[in-house]
Amino acid sequence: MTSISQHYRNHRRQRLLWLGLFTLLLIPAAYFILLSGAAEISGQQLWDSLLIGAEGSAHLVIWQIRLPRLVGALLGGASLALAGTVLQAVLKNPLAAPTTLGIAQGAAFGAALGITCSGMRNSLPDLQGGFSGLDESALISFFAFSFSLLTTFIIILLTRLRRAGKESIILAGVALSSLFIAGTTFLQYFADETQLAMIVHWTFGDLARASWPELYLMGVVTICSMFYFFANRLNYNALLAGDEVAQSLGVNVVRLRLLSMSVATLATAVTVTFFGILGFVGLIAPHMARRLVGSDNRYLLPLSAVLGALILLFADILGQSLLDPVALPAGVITSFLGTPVFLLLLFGRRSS
Amino acid sequence: MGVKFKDLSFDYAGRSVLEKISCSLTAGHVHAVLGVNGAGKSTLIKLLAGFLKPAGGSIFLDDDNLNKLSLNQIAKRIAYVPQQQQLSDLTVSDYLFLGRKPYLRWQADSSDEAIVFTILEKLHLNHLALRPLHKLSGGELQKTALARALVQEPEILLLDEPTSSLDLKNQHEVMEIIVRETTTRNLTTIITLHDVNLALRFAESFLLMKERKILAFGGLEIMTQKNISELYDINVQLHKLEKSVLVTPE
Repeated sequence: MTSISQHYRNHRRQRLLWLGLFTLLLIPAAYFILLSGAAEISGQQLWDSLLIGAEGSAHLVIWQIRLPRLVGALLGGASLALAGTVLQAVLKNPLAAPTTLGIAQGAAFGAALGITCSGMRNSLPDLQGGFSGLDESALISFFAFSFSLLTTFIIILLTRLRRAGKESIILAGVALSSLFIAGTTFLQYFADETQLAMIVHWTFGDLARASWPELYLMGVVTICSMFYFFANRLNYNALLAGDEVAQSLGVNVVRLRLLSMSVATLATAVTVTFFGILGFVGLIAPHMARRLVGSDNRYLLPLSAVLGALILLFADILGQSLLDPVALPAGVITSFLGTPVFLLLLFGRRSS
Repeated sequence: MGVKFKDLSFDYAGRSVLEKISCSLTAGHVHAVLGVNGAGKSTLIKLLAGFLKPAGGSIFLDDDNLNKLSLNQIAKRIAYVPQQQQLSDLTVSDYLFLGRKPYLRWQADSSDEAIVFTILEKLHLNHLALRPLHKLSGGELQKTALARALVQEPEILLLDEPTSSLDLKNQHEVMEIIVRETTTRNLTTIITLHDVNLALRFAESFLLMKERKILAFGGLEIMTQKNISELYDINVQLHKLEKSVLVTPE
């Protein structure tokens, strides 16, 4: 028995090692993102600003642009990846993710509707320092948030239909996505130039968009959802054995599915509302993590969160350096990289 | 100790599946539930597991009404093994740890580990401890599922056709484990079986179900030519063997 338990412990240690390794990788990635950008900032200036709180433009850039970007990438990446992992667990479908279920597209449609309704005449909000309509920005966020929740509500209703199988939920998500994309196109057709630019810009997921107050809100939602997901890690493991076995192990399957989907949506909705669409993060991070530590949610959830954050950090760094001095939004990079990486994961696994 | 149900009824989509059945199943025995497809065997198991709510009647675990117990309280007393196991890349040991879930507050401790590893060893599954479920053979998978149910340390073990997809050797191995653990742990084991000969060889008590009702319930004495013929709507012959009875169609 000693040898089995020893083997088991070694196996567990191996998975913790992956988790530790990727968590450590966050440090150089974070350092790099704080140093990259239009303004030249040296390592010394960075440390001075972070530790001593030096005055000057470098300090302003670090605290008002770079740090929010870093925190945004960490929170956004983690929450999208966790939402994807949990959606995949409760819907038992490896293709479930905020984008494949139409949650992100719902938010984009909501934002487009908000932009059209508010009838803004200002130019792009993050390009204009004195963005006058805070209420209008709140309105856009409110619409984006409401529509992502509405999408989940529809998906939850569909999962409760007895005949809705695993595949039909994703297909319903695809159908909902198409509907929302069509709706967004419809609004774009009637929008004036400024609104059109805003709608299009909104759909590019951009980490530079959020400021501290929004990040605080995101932080609260992400940390609460993380706690909820991690507290339910064994329940998600039980679901791997099938709904009936999970129930026989004391899991209230219906409630778990409903609450997990709601919390996952909330986390996604907040991220998408403040950053726009960051495609594929919620789909790829769980798959990458699963290849490293398997489906055991005790390791899968934290590793997914770390990988989600790393993917976003990487996408942001790449976006800033690829066409320097033009900074591409991280959402464009994740969408570009997402497809080949996902195909590699999908077919790489088959061939192995 | 045991399970008792009284006037138990169940309807599905307006169609009656079970009609006021009553029975008392004692601990320390393997009770085989026999009947043709659609006789309500699986429905009975699912009612006893608490997955389905009865349309009428009640189920008692000792003196406790099943309806009044929480999911977690039920999970500590009843373990369930379905006919088909869901495959995943969980390792056998991680899968077995799921059986400790009803008892865990935050995570498994050394006493949980001791239970898991003892059962792994007892069921000769040690060499599979770190193998993912999807790489197990049918027999190994069924034994692993049984091991997970035993890790749950239940009073009642519900098994829905545990041998239906197994070869002869594995059928017997799985049934031998079930009988052995039922005796040593004083379990009330309720098992649905298609194979009447397997039931005759391993079970001590028989619940014959036909057309939504109990045709007969009791020990080997109820397994008569008449009852079995009536149960399966086919004339059968009984052959006395040294250790068991063999049923063949006439």
